[in-house]
Amino acid sequence: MSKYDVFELVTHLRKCPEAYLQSSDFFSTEGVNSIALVQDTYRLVTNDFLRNDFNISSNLGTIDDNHWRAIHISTWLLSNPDFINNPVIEDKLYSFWFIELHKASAYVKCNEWINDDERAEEMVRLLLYCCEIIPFGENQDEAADKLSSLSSVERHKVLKQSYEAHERIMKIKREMEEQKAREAANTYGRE
Amino acid sequence: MAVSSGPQIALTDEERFPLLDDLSFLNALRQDVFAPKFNFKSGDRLNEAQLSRVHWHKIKYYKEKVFWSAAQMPIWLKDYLHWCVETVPFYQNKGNDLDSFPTISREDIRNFPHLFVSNEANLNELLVYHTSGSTGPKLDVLFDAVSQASWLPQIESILKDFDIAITEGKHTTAIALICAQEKTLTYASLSTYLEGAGILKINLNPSEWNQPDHAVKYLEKYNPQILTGDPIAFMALLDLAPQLNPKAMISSAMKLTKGTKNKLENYFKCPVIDLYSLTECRNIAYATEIGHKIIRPDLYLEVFDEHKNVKLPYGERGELVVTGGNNPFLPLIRYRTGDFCSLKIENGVPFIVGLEARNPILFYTKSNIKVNNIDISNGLSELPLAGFKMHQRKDKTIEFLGYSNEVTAEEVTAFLHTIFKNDIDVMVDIQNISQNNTVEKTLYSSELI
Repeated sequence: MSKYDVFELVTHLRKCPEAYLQSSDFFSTEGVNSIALVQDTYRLVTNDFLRNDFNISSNLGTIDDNHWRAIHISTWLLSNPDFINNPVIEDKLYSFWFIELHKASAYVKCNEWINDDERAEEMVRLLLYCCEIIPFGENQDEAADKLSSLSSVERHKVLKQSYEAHERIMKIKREMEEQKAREAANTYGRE
Repeated sequence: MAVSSGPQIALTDEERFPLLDDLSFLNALRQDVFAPKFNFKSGDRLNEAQLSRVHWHKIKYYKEKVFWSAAQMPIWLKDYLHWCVETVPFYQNKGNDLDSFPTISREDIRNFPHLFVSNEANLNELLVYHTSGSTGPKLDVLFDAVSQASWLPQIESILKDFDIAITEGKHTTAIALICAQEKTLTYASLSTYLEGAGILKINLNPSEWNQPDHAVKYLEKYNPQILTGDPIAFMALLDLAPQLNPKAMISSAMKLTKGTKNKLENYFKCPVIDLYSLTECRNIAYATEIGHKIIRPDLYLEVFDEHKNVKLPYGERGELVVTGGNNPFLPLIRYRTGDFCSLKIENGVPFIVGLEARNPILFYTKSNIKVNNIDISNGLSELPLAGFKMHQRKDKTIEFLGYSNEVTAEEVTAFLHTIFKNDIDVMVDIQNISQNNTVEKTLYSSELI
């Protein structure tokens, strides 16, 4: 097994147990205690099981259900041996969980991270990118290109721009037809 | 442009002239007892901000003209290219260096006019001019009131070379565009830029006037300072022998022959200026003894090989290519004009040498009634022809070759019979357009000239 092989990590991610897809429930009665899960993941990564002072978002109220479930799924991904006892990534996880996954969750339903090949690869690559890890067999440019081509945020941005450009062109065409049928402005000479 | 299928009157005078309060002179021009049967209305549409932009354009480019040189491109070019790449969809993904831009053609503008509109252009200011083009199939040219009104400071800068100035004010007619066509839009208007001075577009066709002598009487009464038109219209005006005192006559759209220029200058006692202009970017240059003198420092001219994307050195003859202008709805980068010449620079001013512009061609019915090729282009523009060639033989038979997958020879034959008043023999051939065509540019020729 090669370390940080995208294919192997995607395979691991797609085996995520159903339990991780449950909603967040800080009292652990019917769902997942998200804070406990995140802290346990920190402990696995740092290999320090006595610590409690991990960096967790102070705005827990702003995290919606879909985002929490994405975080749950990602903790399964982080349980892969590639990330266990790997303390250098500890301070990268905050950005991954609470910034990047927050943005991506706006466009990806949580079960797609497991059921959809491309979204699973996106989560793997997003995690590696946040942890400043270059995937096995790739260089930095290749890794950046592949993430960019998969990124839901990027895709949305491109679609939005393309939609806006399309809207603008449709508007110009409509205006052209209208203006062609109407008087324009003085002509002063022949052309 | 056929009146029946052309644009419709759609504005109030307040919308035509947002800054002019006193429209009494306009009403006088429209309601004069000798006035033609005007079939249209028009204004310059300039609001305060737009009028300021016309004045700014005048100050920036025409107060002191600074052109480029053989070694130095114009100073505005870098910023202009950057702006085009950033805001004009057609030019996206190109470099910021002029040499990274291939030439573009009339076909590009015809097929994708919407892609040339800058993202910064305000669509509320969009105006469209539908042209048949005297040398090609129809074209929608997009522009705004500012680029249209900039015609005036551009012409003023030419007139300055002749020590002529247009008098401003609301009791004078500044410009009359003279036409001699079967049909065209006609109107009386005003110029906000010229402080309310009158603007006329008239057709000498007798059917446009209440009495045969009214055209002369009307023109003599308002005695326009500047007459504009094409050589055929000016010769038609000369035939009427009006007593006019124009400060200058500006001829464009067709080549002005020396003989015609002399006749007009001898009669009207004023300079007759042969202007080179294109619908796509308005005025470019005017004829002098050593070539056409460029008047627009906001245009950059190059000469390219006719068939290859290769720029030719100064002095070498090829196709004229234009970059620049002040139209946010049609910014040009390396636009092929379809006209041929070489370039030279004299004392810091560029000249177009040996310009091959369009030749004026008159056709004749069997009983010798003249037919203007503009009327033929206008009529044919209604048919989806990609191009056509028309030739009149010595026996007056018309040979017509069109390129289209839709138009039938019968439709063209019917049109030609109408325009030639059922007094002509025609031979029409329509060739289909394939994926790989060598369709020639529209061309009129005659063995009767």
